[in-house]
Amino acid sequence: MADDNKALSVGVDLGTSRSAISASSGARELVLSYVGWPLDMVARRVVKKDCLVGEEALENRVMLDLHRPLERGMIKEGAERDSKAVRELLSHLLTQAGVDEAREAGTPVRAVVGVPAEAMRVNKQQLRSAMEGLVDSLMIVSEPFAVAYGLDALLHALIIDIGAGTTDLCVMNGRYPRDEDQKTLTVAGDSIDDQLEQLIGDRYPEALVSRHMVTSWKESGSFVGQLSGKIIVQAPVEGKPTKFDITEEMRTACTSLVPPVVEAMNDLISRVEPEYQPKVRNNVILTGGSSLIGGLGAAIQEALQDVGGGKVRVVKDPAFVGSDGGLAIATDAPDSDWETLSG
Amino acid sequence: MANVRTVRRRLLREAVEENYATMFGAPAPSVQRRLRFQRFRRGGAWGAALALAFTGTWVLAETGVFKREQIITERVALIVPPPPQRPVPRIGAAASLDSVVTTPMDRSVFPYAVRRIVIDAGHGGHHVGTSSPGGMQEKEITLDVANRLAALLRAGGFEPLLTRSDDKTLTLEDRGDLANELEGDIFVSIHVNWFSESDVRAVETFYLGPTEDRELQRLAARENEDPGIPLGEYRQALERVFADVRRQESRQLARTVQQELHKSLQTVNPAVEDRGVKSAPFGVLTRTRMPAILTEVGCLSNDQEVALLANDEYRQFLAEALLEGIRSYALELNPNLTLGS
Repeated sequence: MADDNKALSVGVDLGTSRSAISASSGARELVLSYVGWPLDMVARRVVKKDCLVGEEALENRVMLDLHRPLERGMIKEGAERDSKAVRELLSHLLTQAGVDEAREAGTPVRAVVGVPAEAMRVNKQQLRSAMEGLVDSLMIVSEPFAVAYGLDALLHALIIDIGAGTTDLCVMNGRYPRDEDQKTLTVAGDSIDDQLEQLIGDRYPEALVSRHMVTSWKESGSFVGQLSGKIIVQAPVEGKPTKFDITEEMRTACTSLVPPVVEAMNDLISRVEPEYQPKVRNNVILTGGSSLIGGLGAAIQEALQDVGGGKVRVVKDPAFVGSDGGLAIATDAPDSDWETLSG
Repeated sequence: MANVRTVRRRLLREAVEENYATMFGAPAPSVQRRLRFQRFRRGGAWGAALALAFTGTWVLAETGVFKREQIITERVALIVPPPPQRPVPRIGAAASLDSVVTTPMDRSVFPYAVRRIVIDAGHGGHHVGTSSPGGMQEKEITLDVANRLAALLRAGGFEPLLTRSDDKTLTLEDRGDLANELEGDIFVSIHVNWFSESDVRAVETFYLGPTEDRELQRLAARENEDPGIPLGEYRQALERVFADVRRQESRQLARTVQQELHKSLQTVNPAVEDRGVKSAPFGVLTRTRMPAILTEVGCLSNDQEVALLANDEYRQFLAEALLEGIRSYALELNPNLTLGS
C-alpha cells in the first residue's frame, strides 16, 4: 500500500462516450467525452472560451470543431486534433477533481487512466504523450483490467465492458491481461445507434431525426427480449411534432449486440483451462454504459446455457466502476512503482 | 486473503512494467533481471522451439496442424523449400527469436501473383472522416478515388474488389473480414489526411506494425515468463514468422505505392511533400491476412489541396498514381506476371 498520505490518487475512465474520474479526496465527476474548439472568431466570441468540453461542447456543437477523441475506442488515425482533444478532456476531468489546486499546493498527483483495450493496444504511446505534464506519475491500463481490479474480480472472471465505441471482453486469470485474454469488438453503443437510425429512417422516412435524438431515445428505452409497453418517440414531420412507435426498431438494434458478444465470450471461455471454465462462466460481469440495456444481462446468461450454463452480473454503477477501479490501483501501487513511472 | 494480496501485487507489478516499457522502450530493470535469468535457464528449450519453427514449418503445413497458414500457402501458391540449412539458434531465447523473425525472407520463395486487389475506400456512411472547412468530406473523396482505381485496375488486367462501392457505414472489422473473405492478394485502404498546420501538403503511406518491433520483444519476454513451452507457444512462434512475412511485404508494397504516388503527383502538384512510409498500428490493417497498406493521398487541411481534391481530373490522376504503385509492386514481386490473363 502506498503510505504517502500527501499524494492525491486519481482513477480516470477515459471512455468513447463518457469519461469519469474518482479521486482519493472523495471527488467524483462524469463528463461527456466531447471536446470542441470554436470554428472561427465569431464562434469564439459567442462561446467565450478557447476550448469546450463535455455537455457544454455538445450544446454548442454547431459553432465548434467537435471531436470525440476516442472514436471506436482509438485515437483517430493520424488526427493530431484527437490527441489534443484527449489532453483537453483529461485536463478538464483533473480540474474538476481538484487536481490543479492539489498540485499548486505541492501535492503530488498519481493517476491511473483506464482506456478501451483497443486504444491500450494501438495508441498507448500517443495517450501517454497526450497526458504529459498533467500529473506527476501516470499509469495507463486497459479499462477491463481497471474494472476487474476495482471489483476484485481478478481470478476466474470474465469482464464484458460494453461502451459506446467498443465492447471489450477480458478474462481474468490472476495475471495481467495479455492479448490472448482480451477481445475488442466494434459492435457497441454507437453501432446500435447506427442501426437504430437506419431502421427508423427506413420505416419513417418522413420523420426528421438527428443522431443525438436517436442516441437519447436509446439511452432511455433500450432493451432486448420482451417489453410490456411500447416505445413512442416524437420527431418533427415538416415542422410538426409527430409521434412514432419505435419498439421493434429498438428491439432489433439492441438485439444485434447479443450474437457477437456471446460468440466472443464463448471463444474467450473456451481458451480457459477446462477445469476453470465453469468458474469463469459463473462469474461473468457486465459493465459499461451499454450494459444498462434492459434484458441484456439475461440474454447473455441465457446464451451461456448452450455451453453449460453460467451467471451474468450487471454492475450497478457502470459510470464509475472503471474510475473507481483505477483509483484502487493508484492507491494500492507502492511508492516505488510510482517513482518508476514519474516524469 | 494472502493469496488475493499476492495476486493484486503481481498484477500491479505487471501493469507498472508494461507502462515502463512504453515509456522507455524496454522492460523495467526488475523485469530485465528476471528475463536474463530466465533466458539463461530456458535458452536450450527455446533454441529447440525456434529450430522447430523453421524446420517444422513444412511438417506442420503438411500435416494440417496449421490450418490458417495452410490456406495462405494455397492462396499464394507458396513453394515451400526443403527445410532450410540455417544454423540453429543455441541460447538466448528473446534475442534468438528477434533475429529469426526480423531477418528478411528471400522474396523469391514467394513467387505469388498479385491479381486480386481489395480496395478500401476509407470511412463512409455515418463516418465522414475528416472534412474541409467548406464541407468536403473524406468519405466522398476516398470512395470516388477507389471507384476510379477499381476501373483502372480492371482495365489493367487485375481483379479489383471494393469494400464499399457506395456511401455506407462499415466498421474496421467489417473491412478486414471482407478482405479476408474475398481472399484478396493485397489490401489498399485509401484515406485523406488532416494536419493541424494548414500549410502542410503531403502524402504518406502506412503499413501495420510497431516501429521497433516492440511486439516481438514483448512476445519473447512474455514467452520467457511462463514455465515450460507448450505446443500453443510453438504455434505462436510460427505465427509470428508468417506475420513477419506479411509485414515485410506490406512494407514493400507501401514503399512502392508511396514512391509512385509522390513521383506522379509531383508532376501536377509540385508542392506536395513526401512524408514517406511509416509503420503504425492502424485498426483497419490489424485484421487483414494479406499485405495491407493505408495511403493518405492528400489532405483537407490545406486550401490548395482541397481545391485539387475537388477536381475530377486530379482524382483520376490520384487513381492512376495508385494503379502505377500497385502495378510496380506486382511486377517487382513477380516479373513474369502476365496481366490481363
